[in-house]
Amino acid sequence: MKAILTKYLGEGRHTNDWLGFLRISVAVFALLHFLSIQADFDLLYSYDGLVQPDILDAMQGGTVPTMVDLQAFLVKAIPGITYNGVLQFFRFFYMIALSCLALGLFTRLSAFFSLLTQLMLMNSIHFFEYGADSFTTILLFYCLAFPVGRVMSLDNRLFKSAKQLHEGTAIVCLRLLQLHLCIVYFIGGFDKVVGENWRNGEAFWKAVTSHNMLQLIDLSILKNTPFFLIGGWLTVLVEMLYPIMIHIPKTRKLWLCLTIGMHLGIIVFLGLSFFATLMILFNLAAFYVPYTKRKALPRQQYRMVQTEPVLATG
Amino acid sequence: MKKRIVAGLAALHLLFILLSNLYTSYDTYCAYYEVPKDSAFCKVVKASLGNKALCYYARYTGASTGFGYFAPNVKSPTSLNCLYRGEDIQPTFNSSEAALRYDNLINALIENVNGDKLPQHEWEKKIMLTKQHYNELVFRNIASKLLSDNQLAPDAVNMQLNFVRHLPLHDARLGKTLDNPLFTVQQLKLTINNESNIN
Repeated sequence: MKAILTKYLGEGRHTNDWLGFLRISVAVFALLHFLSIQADFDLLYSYDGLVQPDILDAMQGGTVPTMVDLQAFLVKAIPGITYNGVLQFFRFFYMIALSCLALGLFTRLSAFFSLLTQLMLMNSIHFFEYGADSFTTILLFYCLAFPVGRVMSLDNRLFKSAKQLHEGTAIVCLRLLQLHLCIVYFIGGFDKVVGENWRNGEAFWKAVTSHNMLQLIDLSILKNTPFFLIGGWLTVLVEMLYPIMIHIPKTRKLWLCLTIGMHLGIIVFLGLSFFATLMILFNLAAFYVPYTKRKALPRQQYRMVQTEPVLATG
Repeated sequence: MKKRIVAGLAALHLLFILLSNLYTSYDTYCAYYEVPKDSAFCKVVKASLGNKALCYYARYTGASTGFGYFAPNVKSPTSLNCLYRGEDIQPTFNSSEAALRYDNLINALIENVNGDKLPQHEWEKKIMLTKQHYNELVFRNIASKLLSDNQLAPDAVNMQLNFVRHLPLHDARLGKTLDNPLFTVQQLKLTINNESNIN
């Protein structure tokens, strides 16, 4: 067991570019996702919107402050500050924090503020929240916890005293990201196989026909074929076997393609383009970028320090 | 040494994610098949996850996110109809992303009213009533906003929260059709006036 763990957490033949990829892709994604609602921002957030902020506030969990909470708190220190003033400040602050994160400028600080502001903004409209927001939280947290600022960042260029990348920490972070994704898919597949509707094709039929938001392809013409039965089982198998197949080098690319294909299907048939895009980026950061061959860049580029293995081989 | 500490923290984080998701899966399974939640292990996990510090940790790290998307069944689409003098008024969005978020609001409102299950206990009835009142408050907000945006005179509106039923594959193969796909979960007749949108 110790030997397996040592090998699994040992420094393998992967690049650390995934740290930079994770940071840039998550920050740019979150920025675009937030920009996509700007035209309807007032409808979602303001007192002139669909649901008044304090009514939304009444049903939120209380673990994360909302814009209403912040205004109530700040008005004690800054008399006269309005809800709209607080909202506009955090609206732009979030975009600035994400831009700094994407550039790798004051990376840990910008990751911290990006995560905190994302949580506050989403908790303020928690009834409008969905899976893409939860995964953004997860990945922004990893941007805060992982040494993502040590690779492809302005911090590395501007601050010569920037700390070196600890190779041992980087590999543990990569394994955490990978295992998290394995849990995501295994649980997703497990929950599906529990219900009979994924096993008899009904759920797949319903997913691709009833939620067909983009109306690009109509698959109902295939109702008399085993297409939906196969589709349901294929979805379950791709998800449940993900933790095994993605870790076998020979099947990794195939499973990555199948998984990305499944997410492209989610874009086409369910219209969840941001959610699916984020999942594709998550997959690429965890299982594609770390295994790409680096061209002519010496490992010292990252100013790494080699460390002891996590466990002695035994 | 640093690597060992980081590995230990990572293992704890993963354990938390796994346990909270296994609990959610068990909870979903019990609700779907209507079986009692009597697993001692799950009771322990639930009690542990209810710890305040862990609740904060889960929220700020996203560790409590459930991954059972579209499971065990794919939910039916939903709709919220605002009927004003017989005409259905819907909000207009500039982006599909905002429209998608509005759909999530409707899903959340539907979850509030607990569809076909009747509350068994007094406390369940109270919670259900509170949630129904909350929905009413949200309906009033939305109706008022829609009337004001469309420059319509204040009047009575009929708010309908619906599931959009979908023809099962088996029936589709037999050539059946759905006469009325809407299944109304909650319906309220509200009077919207000029004074306030939360009367």
